[in-house]
Amino acid sequence: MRRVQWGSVAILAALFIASLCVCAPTLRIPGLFSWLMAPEYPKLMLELGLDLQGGVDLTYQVSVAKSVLTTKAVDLAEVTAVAKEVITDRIDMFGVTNSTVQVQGEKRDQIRIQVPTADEKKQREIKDIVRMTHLLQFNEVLGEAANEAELDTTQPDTIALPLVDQKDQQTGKTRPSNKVFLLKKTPEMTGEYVESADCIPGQLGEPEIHFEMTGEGSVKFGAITQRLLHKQLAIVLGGKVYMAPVIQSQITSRGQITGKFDLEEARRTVKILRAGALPAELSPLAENFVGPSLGEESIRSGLRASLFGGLSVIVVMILFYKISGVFANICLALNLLLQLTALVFLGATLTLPGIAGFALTVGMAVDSNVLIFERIKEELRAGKTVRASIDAGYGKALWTILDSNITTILTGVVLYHFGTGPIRGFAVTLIIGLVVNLFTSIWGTRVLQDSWYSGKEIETMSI
Amino acid sequence: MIYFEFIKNRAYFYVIMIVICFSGIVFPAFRGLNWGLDFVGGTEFIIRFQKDVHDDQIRKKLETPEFAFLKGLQVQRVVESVGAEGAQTGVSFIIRTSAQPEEIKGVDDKLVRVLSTINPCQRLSTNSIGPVIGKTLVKNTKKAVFWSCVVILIYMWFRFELRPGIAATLGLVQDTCGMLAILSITGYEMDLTAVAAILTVLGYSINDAIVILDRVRENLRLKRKMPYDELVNLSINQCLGRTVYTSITVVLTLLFLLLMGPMVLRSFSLVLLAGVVSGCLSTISVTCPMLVDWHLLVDKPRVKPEAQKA
Repeated sequence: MRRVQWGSVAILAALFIASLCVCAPTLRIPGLFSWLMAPEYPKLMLELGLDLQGGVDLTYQVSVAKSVLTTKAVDLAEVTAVAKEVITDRIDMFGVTNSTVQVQGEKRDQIRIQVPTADEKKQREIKDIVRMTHLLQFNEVLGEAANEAELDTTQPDTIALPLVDQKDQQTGKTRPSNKVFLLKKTPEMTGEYVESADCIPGQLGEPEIHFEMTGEGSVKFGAITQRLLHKQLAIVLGGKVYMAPVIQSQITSRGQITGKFDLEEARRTVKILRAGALPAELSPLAENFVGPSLGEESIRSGLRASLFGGLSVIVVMILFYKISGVFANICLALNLLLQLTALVFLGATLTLPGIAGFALTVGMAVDSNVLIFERIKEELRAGKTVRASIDAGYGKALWTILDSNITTILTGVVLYHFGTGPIRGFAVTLIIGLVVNLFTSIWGTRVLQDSWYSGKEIETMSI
Repeated sequence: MIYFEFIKNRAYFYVIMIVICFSGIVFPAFRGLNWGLDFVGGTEFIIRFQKDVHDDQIRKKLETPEFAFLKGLQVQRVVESVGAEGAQTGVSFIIRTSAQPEEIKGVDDKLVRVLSTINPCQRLSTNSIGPVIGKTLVKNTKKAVFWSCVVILIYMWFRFELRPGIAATLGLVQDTCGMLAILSITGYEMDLTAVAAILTVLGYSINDAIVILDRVRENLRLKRKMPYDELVNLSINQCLGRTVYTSITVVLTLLFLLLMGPMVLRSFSLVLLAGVVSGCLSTISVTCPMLVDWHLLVDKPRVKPEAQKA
């Protein structure tokens, strides 16, 4: 005779509730966990992959730009690394969270850019902006005002562009600026002539931006700065003015920008001065655009299929194994929740193959329980008591379950190693699902079954 | 208790095995596989029309000098999944061409504009892949299949013996052939997800072999007087309930995924479905009979000499 393992049951229940809490924002369960939705709690959300929320996925082959004339041998991997930095800065301007820029390929000479945005206009802009060899412009400032209406844009060759979002010194939050510049539309020069830029503390510790022009650039910039002496020259990128310093003296090869800006602003300007010129040529290897509706439909049909699949498994398990089937189903639910929790904590993104991995684990997770229950049935048929049958069933099925799960996990690892993108997502969900499965199906159902058949000696078993 | 004579009738299973393996080679070789974009490169647009249109209408619009760069044009109607909202909001078409990413710059807008003259439509996605990606993918796929088999074989060797390991790995050959045959016959796309499915089945099929092999090992200890072939047959029968029930649950989830799931996952679901069924079959039809025959050929008979005749 055994007692109910209240401790273990409590652990199971606690795990259930804890994982439900973690998954609540992801599953968008309102009401029950409304306090979790409150803004002051950090939200642990499972991010959706590109294929689900829409976005762009671009892969480019990097080659040395024809415009870059070099005498020394160029290391393509190095160029790629620089190009990656430049592209990262450019992508950052769109402010899309979870954008990634990675270097890939055996020779480390490919760049993959993934931006999860369903906005088709943005998608197109991203594609265009990434490959531009130079997009930084220096424009002459003709005037400035609080809003566009106050500026006279009727003149030919003029354009009104806003100042980039400013960071509030006190609150630290970025807010849209209330300054618009009237610029000469034709740029004085483009960013391709900027050789390097850096942020250096000045004599009083205030940040200064130092930059250097290329040989050709020095001549051009010298002429421009002479012509626009004591006038403002705007640094423009992506339709926004980043800074509009007044030219104090003629600048040829080296110059510096000083003034009332903090380190962060200085750093940002350095970044865009560098981001202006791409030292490489990019040729597309793969371009994938996913619109918003396709992803939405994929999620809906994917979840619906998983739901129906899950429900059918639940029904089948109860039909086959009655009360024991109910235990298996409880553990299946726990399995799915824990799986989701693990993904949330790993900061993984849920892709379409990931959903498939989920659906598949539902089918596979009950396999362990089927194995155990069939074994228990056999022991019962052999005339053993309920107690002894449960013990024997779990004991004998253990290694079989371990073996079969480990081989699938191993193939999952191989899949992860050789796979890319969404396939990796699938491999991760598969591996997590199986590991969690070992825990829930072997330990979880055991606890429930032991507790159910504890107390008085039971003659028959619902299985 | 139900008891089947699997081993005594193994000649039939060998026939099934030969048929499956044969079709796994013949169909892909002659009928070919519908290689996905991931492998061969090219461009694929998914366009949704508000009302039903005929694919010839689309073809006519695109077979003009303006779109001459869309080489090897294929237009295919998408079969909507069961219960999908898409069925009410329109009809989707996959337009595929061998045009490279460099050639299709900004063509989406033009395409939608031209096709909208037939019926209002919207672009759901554009996927364009160059040949380099495909080459890397083929290389990685081969490596992945190879290493999966090696890893499984080593694990089986470590946990059992070399012989069951090899027998089980041979079962995987049948599974792979079965999946390739289904892909070729149905004409479903052989894409990245299909590869993932094939690899998953390799792991899953081994599960099935392990369950029965574990039982064989246990019975070898318990029933020392039983001839080997009978013992293997008994083990299969003892595990039959599990094989059937597990298959039912997995097949059910996969059927729902195939019929109701997103269209991108069709190949994946189909391959898995075929593989899971084949996985259960291959243990009974390949792994166990091979183990028995190997035993009968090489080892001394366990108990009765007449067992050798079987």
